[in-house]
Amino acid sequence: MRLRRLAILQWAGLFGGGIAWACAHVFGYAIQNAECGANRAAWSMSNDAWEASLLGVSMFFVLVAEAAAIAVLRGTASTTYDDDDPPASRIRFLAIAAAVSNVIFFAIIVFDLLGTLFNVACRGS
Amino acid sequence: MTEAALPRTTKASGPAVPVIVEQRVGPPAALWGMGILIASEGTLFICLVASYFYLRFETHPWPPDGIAPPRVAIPLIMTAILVATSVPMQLAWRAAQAGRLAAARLALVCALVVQAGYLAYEIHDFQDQLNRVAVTRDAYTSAYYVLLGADHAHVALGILFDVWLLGKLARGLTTYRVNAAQAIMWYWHFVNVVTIIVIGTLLSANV
Repeated sequence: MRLRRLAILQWAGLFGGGIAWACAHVFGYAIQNAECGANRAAWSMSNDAWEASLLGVSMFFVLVAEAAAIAVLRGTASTTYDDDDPPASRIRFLAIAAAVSNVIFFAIIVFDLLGTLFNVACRGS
Repeated sequence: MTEAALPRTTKASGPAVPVIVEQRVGPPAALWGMGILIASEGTLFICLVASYFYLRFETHPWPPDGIAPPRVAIPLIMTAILVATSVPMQLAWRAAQAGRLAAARLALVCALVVQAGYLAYEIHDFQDQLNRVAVTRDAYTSAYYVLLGADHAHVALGILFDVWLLGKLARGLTTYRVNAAQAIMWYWHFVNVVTIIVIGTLLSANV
């Protein structure tokens, strides 16, 4: 039962960060279209406020995924991913991958946020 | 050999190896690691192929005037030769899994010779094409060389994997090395599928 809970946390940690970033990316594109598209008067949105809120929420979910990965790492501290049998070795191994990839997804979202706030919205390229 | 007597470690060697591999209840960590590598490299190639077709649909004519369409016969033959190496790679893993070290080495050497020959020819051909048309000429040449070069780089990495595995197998068979053989086999299946997609994409300029 404990192993099953660790497995669920491990998958949440592995995919949580990526899904949070992907959602932020897609919804961010939609927000920008709503503000900068031909029908922008109907929406009258503030790009910076919406983007910052969206990215803030996604950063929260990435942190939750990272916390899940760290919890799994602590829970499998006595396991080695190369010598122990699956599923314990797999849970340990993918938790390490999740802990690293969530840091990368967090950095991507931070840079997205900085780019959104410091760039002028609706400027043609 | 009873299960209790088996050393449950990737360093297990000799007759214990096939028994441990057979009793395993799931994929080893090496395979998960290779799965992550294949997923990330697959994403890279999806982006490259999508960029190629984006440029193609925005540019007319394709290939641009002054550039001959890519040759068809030789790339197809070379791709078929490379794809055929999936067979000895699979055999090498099967042999290692069954504890037949000599057969595993032989299959791996066969695959390595063909793969190295393929890469040597492709590097020569790539250099020859670069001498005729520069990579900086236009969007078509950029997309063409980047796609082909990325594919060749993955073949080169696979050859390095093979050489490393052969070096390991020269010192005997362990569970760790069987896991490595399986992961490297999957890498080659991936590279061969990518090569088919890349060559198909590049040859689509003839259509």
